[in-house]
Amino acid sequence: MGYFYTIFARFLASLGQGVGGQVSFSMAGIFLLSLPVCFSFSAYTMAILHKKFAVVLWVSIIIALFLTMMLGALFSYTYTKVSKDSFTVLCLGSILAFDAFVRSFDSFTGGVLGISGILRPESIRTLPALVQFSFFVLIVILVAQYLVLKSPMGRKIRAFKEHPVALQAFGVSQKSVISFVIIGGSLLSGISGLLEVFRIQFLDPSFGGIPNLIVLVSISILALKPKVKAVVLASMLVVFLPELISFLDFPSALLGHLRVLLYSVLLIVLIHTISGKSQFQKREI
Amino acid sequence: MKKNIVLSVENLHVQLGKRMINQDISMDVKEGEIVGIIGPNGCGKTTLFNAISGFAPIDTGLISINGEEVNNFTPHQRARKGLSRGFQNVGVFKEMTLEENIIMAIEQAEQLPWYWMFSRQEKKQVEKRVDAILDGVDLLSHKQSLAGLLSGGQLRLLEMAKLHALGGSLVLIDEPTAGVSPVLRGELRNAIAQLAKKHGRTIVIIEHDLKFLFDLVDRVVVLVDGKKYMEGKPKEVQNDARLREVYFGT
Repeated sequence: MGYFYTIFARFLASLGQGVGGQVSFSMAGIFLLSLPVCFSFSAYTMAILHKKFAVVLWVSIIIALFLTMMLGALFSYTYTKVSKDSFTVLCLGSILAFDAFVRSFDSFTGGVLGISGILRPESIRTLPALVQFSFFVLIVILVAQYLVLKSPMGRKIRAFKEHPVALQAFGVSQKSVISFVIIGGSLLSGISGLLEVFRIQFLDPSFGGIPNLIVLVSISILALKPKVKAVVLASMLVVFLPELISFLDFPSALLGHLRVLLYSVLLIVLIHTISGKSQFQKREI
Repeated sequence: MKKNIVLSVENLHVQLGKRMINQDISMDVKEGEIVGIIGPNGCGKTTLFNAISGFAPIDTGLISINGEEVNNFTPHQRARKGLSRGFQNVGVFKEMTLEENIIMAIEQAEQLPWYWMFSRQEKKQVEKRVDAILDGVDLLSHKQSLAGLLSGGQLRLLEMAKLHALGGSLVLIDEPTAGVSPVLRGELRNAIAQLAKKHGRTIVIIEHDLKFLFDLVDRVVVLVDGKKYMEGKPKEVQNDARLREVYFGT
């Protein structure tokens, strides 16, 4: 049962981040590779505030999410100031920069040794309680996503990807769409980071990072259609598929690496087969 | 009755890079008028549209829409002031259905609240409007199709429907007949004429098909080498010797 809860909790955390990825990558065409940074940033902020500064846990969570949104706002501002290609490179660079930051400022972040013994809030102390809580959070996120997809904003996001110039001629501010997508995506990634850190109760520089990015991009490419069920099914596939490896007779030390390898192969296959439809990096006309 | 000036352009200069594209262009367009802009390729017609709609920065000059100076307004702010813009490459969203394209325009024009589609009454009203607008350009049967599946001519008609739904008092249309079969040109002309006559819109239109244009417009502005060469009724323009040489080789 513990294994089931662990996998299900991982699925829920990935799904939360996947929603952000689907909205930004697939719907808006914004290659927001900074989502793993937001994933790690919220977790580290919460852990540092709570463990180093003795801030009440729930308050730490709220501050962490607020600061993650601010980080998203910074990325959103940057998106309006640089070219799409530069933004993509900058986002990738931010993953490396955050990793370097975490390793360097070890008095706060614990450096390579990380921060251990991160407690869950009282009401979700056990794994089943955490899974139930995560499930509730994800239901709220999916309902919100459904409403956004059906709402004028959902149409504006899709229109932004296809013809941003025509969208402005409709009287829609590009900045409002960009801010909504990037800040919203960053917040969702931050929430997922918190759910994940409460599951593993440990943080080190490998939290988030490139393996997380590969999972996120795979989900986003699979969830091309602007539908809630698309992102749910994509997250299921990406999270549960590598679990088949654990039933094969591999040394346990190898399993983690094999999972990343499988994700990488999956990503290459996806890029070859369906990513063309997503029109990433489409230039303005 | 004296008609209001909907669009006013005064001494407009637009420079892109080192090249001066528009030089000292002035023109007024009155309420309900259809004004055509013609000129050889590269004379700055689309740049003029881009400057009016805020997509190209201007060097000097003054642009006013409905009496309000809009020089410092972004494109979306100008759209909210009543400027609707059609594009040379068709400004509709091809990955959306025809219905969604028109709904988007209605949402913007009427500033509907985000939850409107959850109100049965509101939904019914919007649906009725969408049907009427699409029926007006003979595209109602394609309502649920993706716009990308339409032919070039049908896309132009959809753009006209969109411009109608957007409800702006000033409509800029850039080369509407590009890629449109002769059969559909008649329908397109009717759709543009209806926008002005039936719905009271003021229209400025760039077009290379002079027969199409002269049948439609009240006045023509001719640009040559980025400058306004002349302005007048279609007949006057047709009779100009230099233009006859440029366009008709006579």
